[in-house]
Amino acid sequence: MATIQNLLEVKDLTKTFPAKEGFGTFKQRVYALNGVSFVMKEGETLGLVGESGSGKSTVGRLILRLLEPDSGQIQFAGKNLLQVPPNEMRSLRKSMQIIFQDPFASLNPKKTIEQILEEPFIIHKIGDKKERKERVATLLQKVGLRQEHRTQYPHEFSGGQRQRIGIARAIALNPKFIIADEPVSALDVSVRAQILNLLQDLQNDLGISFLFISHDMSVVSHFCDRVAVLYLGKIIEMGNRQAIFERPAHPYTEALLSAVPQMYGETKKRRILIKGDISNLREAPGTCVFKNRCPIKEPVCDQEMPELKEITPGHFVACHLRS
Amino acid sequence: MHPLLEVKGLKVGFRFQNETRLAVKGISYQVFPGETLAIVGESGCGKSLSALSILRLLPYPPIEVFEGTIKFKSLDILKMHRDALNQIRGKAISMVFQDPMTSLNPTYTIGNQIEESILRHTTLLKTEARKKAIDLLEQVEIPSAQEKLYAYPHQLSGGMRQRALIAIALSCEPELLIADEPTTALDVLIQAQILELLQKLKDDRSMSILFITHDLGVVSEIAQRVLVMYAGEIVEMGPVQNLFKEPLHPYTKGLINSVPTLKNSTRRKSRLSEIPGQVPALGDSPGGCSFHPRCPEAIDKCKTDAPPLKEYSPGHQARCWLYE
Repeated sequence: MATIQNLLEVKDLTKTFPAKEGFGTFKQRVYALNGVSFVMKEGETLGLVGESGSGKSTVGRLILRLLEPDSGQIQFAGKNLLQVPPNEMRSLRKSMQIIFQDPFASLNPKKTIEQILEEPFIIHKIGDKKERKERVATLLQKVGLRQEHRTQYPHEFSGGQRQRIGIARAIALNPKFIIADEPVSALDVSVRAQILNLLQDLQNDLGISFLFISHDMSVVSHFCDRVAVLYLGKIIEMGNRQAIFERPAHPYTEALLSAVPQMYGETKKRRILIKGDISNLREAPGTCVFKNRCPIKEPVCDQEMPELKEITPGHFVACHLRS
Repeated sequence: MHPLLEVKGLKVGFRFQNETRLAVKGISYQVFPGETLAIVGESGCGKSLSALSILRLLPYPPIEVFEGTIKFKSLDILKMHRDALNQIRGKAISMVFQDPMTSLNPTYTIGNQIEESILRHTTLLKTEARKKAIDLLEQVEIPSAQEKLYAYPHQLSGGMRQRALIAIALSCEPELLIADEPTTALDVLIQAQILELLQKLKDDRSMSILFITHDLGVVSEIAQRVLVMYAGEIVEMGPVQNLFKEPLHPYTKGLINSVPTLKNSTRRKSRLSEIPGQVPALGDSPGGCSFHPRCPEAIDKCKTDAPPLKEYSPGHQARCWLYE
């Protein structure tokens, strides 16, 4: 093992779901993830980008074991997550948390903010009643909410405030690692900036590693150190932010970047139009997953699956023609 | 040039405990033939309600138009008889909604739904309508159009459903297309395809588009003129290049600056500039300028007097005391 320990190591993660063929038959399976591997260092922010259906949320759910993978390995802080016994998993969960996309659906409407924020401490048996109240007070202050908010219910808050509550809950137990699954997608432009800044401050203060799942390339380019691009359950390109945004190598990443609407006055990239939609995989792919939409496809793409290869240090691409 | 659509002093809202609460507080604008006007704003600013009132589609009760006129060419839409209005809806003016799943009927095929509006508004026969439907599906670049006629909405992907919806909206060659966040629910590659498509169709048919969105990037790509709404009022309006290059209203400036852009990727993570606070709740707007509690440049006058919408350069209007 290398000297610097990785916080998270994901190896060859594969997950399939049963596919409906109509009237309740589940013979086929959809391949949501096909051998996804990546590592994250402590304090690092890795952005996971892709279109809907690319499997990016599935990755997050597998790491937290909210879903079980078909095969693969997940190492978190040196422990094999897929083999730890349930009681140990419970205490490991203290150090890994998640922030969900929809701040309306992820808070219990029948509980006050204080009850919601106190719950992690109760579950993990931390402190007595008085101490818990104090901790809730500090949490509220950390995420920029007022103390009088503690007796209110989720419906009394705006979307941005609810997302702050979700963030407070996630940082309650001082986690090392947070999965942020589209945390700002449901928010308005002016509120989005507030939440992104809050996440950034928390990361600087608490040294949390983020797995930042998003479909928004601009947000990822702003927030992440490294980026992995997912297409149909495979990582097709991975590298640090500069590499991905300035020297994208995979034709899909290029197209994705060129499709981001740019504000007036910004240098425009030539738009690469990609036809068609992302499809479903009904069998494990044997060839390039992007070949059907690829603008530079060659015969070799129909024959072999491109491996993820390092083209410059730390910059990996899975493409026959670009690596 | 005569405007195709002229909205004047439009007030939309509802009654609450004998009190009128306005979501749209008297807005006026015009859409000219062949242009794309974008309405930008955050949720709750009244942009969708002002668009829905053009086709009298407001969810009444409780929401209704209290004041104002909407003129389409020479017709007064708000005073029109229902039958006459039905002649316009889906024909001269049509609409594309945000959510393609809920705006298509799940129990009819795509073909049925396109033909419905053709048969309603034209004298074409059923077989001709079918031909036209295939033609429309091809125009919106749905692959194997002939087969897709018989598909039900759930069998299509989000992007394909949105195209089908656009095909329905275009079926009677509208002069004005109202598009309410048509790409918000879509992935960025599909969004690029749909925007390209709308642009092309607009140029081919010299149709006008009223495009409602919260995404400033999309606005810059598709619109010629922009109208920024905040708390039910127009705070700034002007040609797209003026508005992005020399924004006047502090809210517009704040919006433009708070958007993370790809250009920043080289810089070490910097903080985004944010607009503090949040949009005021309906019926709870502060006195004076409705933006003053969040405005970094507010002066004393802003707290007491509401500024008027004034023109500061040709076609570029703003509602702000700073430029008086």
